[in-house]
Amino acid sequence: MKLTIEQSDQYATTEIFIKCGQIDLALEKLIKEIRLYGFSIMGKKDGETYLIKIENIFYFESVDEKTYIYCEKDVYECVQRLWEVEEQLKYINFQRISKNCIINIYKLVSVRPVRNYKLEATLENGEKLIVNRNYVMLLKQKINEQE
Amino acid sequence: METIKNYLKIDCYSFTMLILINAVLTWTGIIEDMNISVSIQLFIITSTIAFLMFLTDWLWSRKGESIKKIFHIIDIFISVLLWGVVFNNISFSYMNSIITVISCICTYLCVSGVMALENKKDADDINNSIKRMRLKNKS
Repeated sequence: MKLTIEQSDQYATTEIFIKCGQIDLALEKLIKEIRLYGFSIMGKKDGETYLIKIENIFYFESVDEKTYIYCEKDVYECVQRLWEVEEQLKYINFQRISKNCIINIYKLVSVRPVRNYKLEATLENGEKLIVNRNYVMLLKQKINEQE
Repeated sequence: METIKNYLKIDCYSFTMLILINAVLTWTGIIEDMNISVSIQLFIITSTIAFLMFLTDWLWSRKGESIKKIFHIIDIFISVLLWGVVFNNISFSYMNSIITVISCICTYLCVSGVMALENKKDADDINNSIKRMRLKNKS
């Protein structure tokens, strides 16, 4: 694959242009990732609506039918359901780790085994989340994809 | 799919453990020679245990983990007693009951140990992958 990057002050906006014979699975995945570049998710806090950049999100959690967005320090209520978020972010660096939680794996610092064959994940901000046994393999695969 | 895989793993580990325990008991002369039908019976018992454990976890998913462990041990005894009666190979003699109880507990502890080791290995693998991923993202 040939990659050409032109950097110049004359370009006001970033434009990505793909020339290809056929769109295979890898390219399709890349296109989906590019589409999410600069993508934001809407979140509500204290009656105000904010657009939160995807790279600032640490994890999503569903509590009592409501979905919350957790950033480094702030928590926002997400307008989407957890499964909708999962569907939207499944091709990028987000992975479901339990029935009610999706994490940004770029914010993951380490994991450690805990009781009942689960893992405890530590994020960059020091928060700890439980990785359910059923999602361990999927988490492993997702991290390996990002390597 | 991952859930099924986990319970199949429990089934396989516990079957292997029971076969080993039976082999040791046969070798030491405590029980009679183990034949093919006994190994099939053991497989049915361990499969039932795995299924009962799945039901326990599913029905009492919000219960505390310690309570679930107690239920898991009860699952083992239910399966052993049920199939023991069906296959007509259980006798409620003092010695036999002790052997059965010890075998069940040993199997449970060994399977738990193997699962814990596997969990530790998964954590190590993930940590190595995280390190590589973070290095790549930094560069």
